[in-house]
Amino acid sequence: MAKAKKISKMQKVSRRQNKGLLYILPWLAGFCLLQLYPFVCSLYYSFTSYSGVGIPKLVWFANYIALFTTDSEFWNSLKVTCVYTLITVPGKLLLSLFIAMLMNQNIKGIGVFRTLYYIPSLFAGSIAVAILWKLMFMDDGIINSLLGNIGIGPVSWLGDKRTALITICLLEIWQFGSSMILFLAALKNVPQELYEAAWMDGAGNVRCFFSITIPQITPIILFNVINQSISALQNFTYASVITNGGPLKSTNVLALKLYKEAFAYQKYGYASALSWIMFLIILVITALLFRSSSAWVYYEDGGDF
Amino acid sequence: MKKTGERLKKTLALAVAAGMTMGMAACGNGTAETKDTENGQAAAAEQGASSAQETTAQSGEEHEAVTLRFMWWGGDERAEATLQVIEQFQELYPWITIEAEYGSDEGYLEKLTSQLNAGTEADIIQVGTGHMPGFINSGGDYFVDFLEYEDQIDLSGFEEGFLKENGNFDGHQYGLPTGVAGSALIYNEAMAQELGLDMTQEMTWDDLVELGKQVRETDETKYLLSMDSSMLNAVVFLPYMQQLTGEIFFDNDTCEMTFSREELVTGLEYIESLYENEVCVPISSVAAYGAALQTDPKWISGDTYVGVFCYSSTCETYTAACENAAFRGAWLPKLEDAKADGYMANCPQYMAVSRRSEHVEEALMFLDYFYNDENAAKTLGTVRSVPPTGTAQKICNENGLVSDIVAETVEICQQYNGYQGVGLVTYDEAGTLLEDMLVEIAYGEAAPEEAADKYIPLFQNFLDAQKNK
Repeated sequence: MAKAKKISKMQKVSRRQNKGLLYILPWLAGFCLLQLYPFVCSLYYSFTSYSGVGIPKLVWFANYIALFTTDSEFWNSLKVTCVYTLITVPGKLLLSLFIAMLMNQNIKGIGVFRTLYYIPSLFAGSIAVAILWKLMFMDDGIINSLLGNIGIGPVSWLGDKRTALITICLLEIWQFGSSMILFLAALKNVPQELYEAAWMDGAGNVRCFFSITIPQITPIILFNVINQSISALQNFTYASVITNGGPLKSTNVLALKLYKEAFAYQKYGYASALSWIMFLIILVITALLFRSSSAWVYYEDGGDF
Repeated sequence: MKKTGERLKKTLALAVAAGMTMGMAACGNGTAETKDTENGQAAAAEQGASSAQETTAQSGEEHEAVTLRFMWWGGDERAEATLQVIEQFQELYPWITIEAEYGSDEGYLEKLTSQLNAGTEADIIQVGTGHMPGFINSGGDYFVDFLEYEDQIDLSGFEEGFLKENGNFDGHQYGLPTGVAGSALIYNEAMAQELGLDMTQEMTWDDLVELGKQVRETDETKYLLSMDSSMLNAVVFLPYMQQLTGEIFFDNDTCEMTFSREELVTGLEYIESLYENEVCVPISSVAAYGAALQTDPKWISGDTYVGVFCYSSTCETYTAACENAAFRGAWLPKLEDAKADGYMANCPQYMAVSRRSEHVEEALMFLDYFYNDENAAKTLGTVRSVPPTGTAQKICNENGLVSDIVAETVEICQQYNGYQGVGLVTYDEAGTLLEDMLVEIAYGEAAPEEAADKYIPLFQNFLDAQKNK
C-alpha cells in the first residue's frame, strides 16, 4: 500500500516535470536550433578544411596550428582586439559612472537629462550611427572643421593608423547609456544613512566616494565590466563599417577577420577555428573576472541570493 | 472541493499550454510567412497566378505562374534602367514575375558566396569577372552552361571570339559578358590645359610620374590622381607587372608566382615613386571613401584632382559626380620595353543563371530579352559599358546613347592586347594580400624590398592552399 502510494507520488512528480518541460519547450527548441547546433557544428568544422562546398575534409589541428604559426594577421588582430577592449571598457565605465553621479542629483528636470544621455545607446550597434561617425570624422568632416576653428588639425582620424582605432573606440564609449542606467540604479540603492554617518565623522566627498559609494556598487561594476568586456571582444560593426579593418590593418579586430575568412575567402573551417579561439579567450577572461570578484566585490547579503 | 480545485488547476494549465502551443504555431506561421515574403515568392506567385489566368483567358495558352529572382550590383542609373527592362519583359510575359535584388557592390561578393553555399542564390545573377574563376574552381557547379541552351537563348549577336574570351571556362559558357569595357584613365580636360599637361599622347609609366610632378610644381593644391587601393592594384600594379614579366601575376595552371623577387621589387618601387613624387593624393586622405572615390567632396568640386584610374564601365559615375567638368580618356601607360600590353578590352561583369534554379527556361527567356531585344538595348544604353552584342551596339550608336567618355575609353582599351588578368590573382584573398602590400608602400610603412620579403611567403601560402584544393 505504502509502495503504491510512493509510486503514484513519483508519477505525479515526473508528470509535473513534463509539464515544466512543455513550458520551456519554445526556448529549448530555439536554443538547440540556433545556439547548440551551430556551436557543435563550428567545433566540428574547425577541425576540417570546409570551404562551403562538398563534404568537409578532416584536417584535425591544422587550422589551429596555422593560426598560431603562419598567420601573422591573427596576432595583429588579437592585439587590436585587446587594445580596443582595454580602451573601451574602462572608458565606458568611467564615463557612465561619472554621468550617473551627475544624474543622481535631485534637481528639476533631471528626467529629461537622463533620457537625453540614454539616447546614444538606443543606436547601439546600428549601421546608421557608424556611418554618421564616419562622416563626422572624415578629413573634411565636422570634427576637423570644429578643431580648425581653434587652430588644430586637420587630423586624419580614419586615415592614420595611430588614430583610427581610437576613433572607433570613441563611438563605443559614447554609447554608455545602459551602463549608466545600471550605475544610477546602484547609486540610488546606497543607504543614505551611511553618508550621514560619514559626514558626522567629518569625511569629505572624495572620501565618501571611495569608502562608501564604490564598495556599495561593486556588484554592478562587476556586472558592467563582464558585460562590456564580452561585447568589446566580439565587436564587429564599427570596424567593418567605418574603416573595414584599415588603415594598415590597425582596426582589423578578430570578429572582422573571422568574417572575412569565412564569407569572403570561403575558409569556413579556418574561421570556425578562429571563432573557437575567440570563445576560449572570452571564457578565460570572464572566469578570471569572476574569480577576482571575491576579492573586491561586496555583497550586502553575503553573496547569497 | 479539493478535487474541483485540482481540476480547475489542470484545466488552466492545459489552457495555458494550448495557448502557448498555438502561440508557437502562430510564430511558426509568422516565420514561414516572413520567409516567403522575403523571397516574395508566395505573394508574387499568387499575383503571377492571377495575371497568368488573365493571359490564359486572352491568348488561350496556359502558363504556370513563375517568379524569378535577379540580383545585381551597381549605381542608380544602372538600377533604374534594369528595373525598366524588367517591367518591359513582364508586360510581354505576364505570367513571369521578376524580383529585383540590387544594391551597391559593397558586401556583394560575401552575400553571393554565402547564398551559393546555402543554395539560396537568385535565379539570374550578375557575377564579377574576377570572382567567376573562384566559383568555377570551387567545384560547386553553380551555373548553367549557356551553350547547352542555344536553342533557348540567341547568342549569335556576340562576336564568337569575344564570347570565348569572356565567360567561357574549359569550353563551358558559364557567364555571358554584359559589355565591352576595360581599364581607363580619365582626366579633367580644362584643368589639364590650365596646368599645361599634355595627356593626349601615348605615355610611359615614367611620363605619368613626370605629369604628376608637373602638377605639384604648378599648383600645390592639386594632384594628378585620386587613387584607392583596389584601383592601385587592379589598374596600376598588376598591368605594370604584366608588362614587366610578360605573364599574369599568378599562373592559374601551376599555382605559381610568375615573377622574381627583383621584378616584384621593381614593381613596388614604381608604386613608391607614385607616392614619393605625390603623383597620387596621399592614401590616408582618401582612405575613408574606400573604392567610392567619386563621393570625395574634392572630387565632386572638381578643383583638386586632374584625373582618376577607373573602368570604362564605371567612368560615368565619376563624370556624373563632377558635373562641372568635361572629361576625356587618356592613353594607358606602358613600359618602354613591355613584354605584354598589360591592359585589354574585356567585360565588366557576367550574367549567369543558377543551375539550381527551378525555372532555367524562363531565366533564359529574360536574358534573351535583356541581350537581344531592341527596346531593352535602348533602355539599358551603356549602364554596363558599351553593350556586347552587335545589334545592341548599333542601336546605342544610332540613338546617341553611348556617351563620349564611354566610347572613348572603350576605344582606347581596345588598342591593348594584354592577357586577361583574371583567375587566382582576382580571388578575394589574393586581392587583399596585394592591396595590403601596396598600402604598406603607399603609407611609406615598408620599403619595396621589405614588402617583397614579407609578402612573397604569404603569396606562397595562398598558392599552396590553392594547390591542395
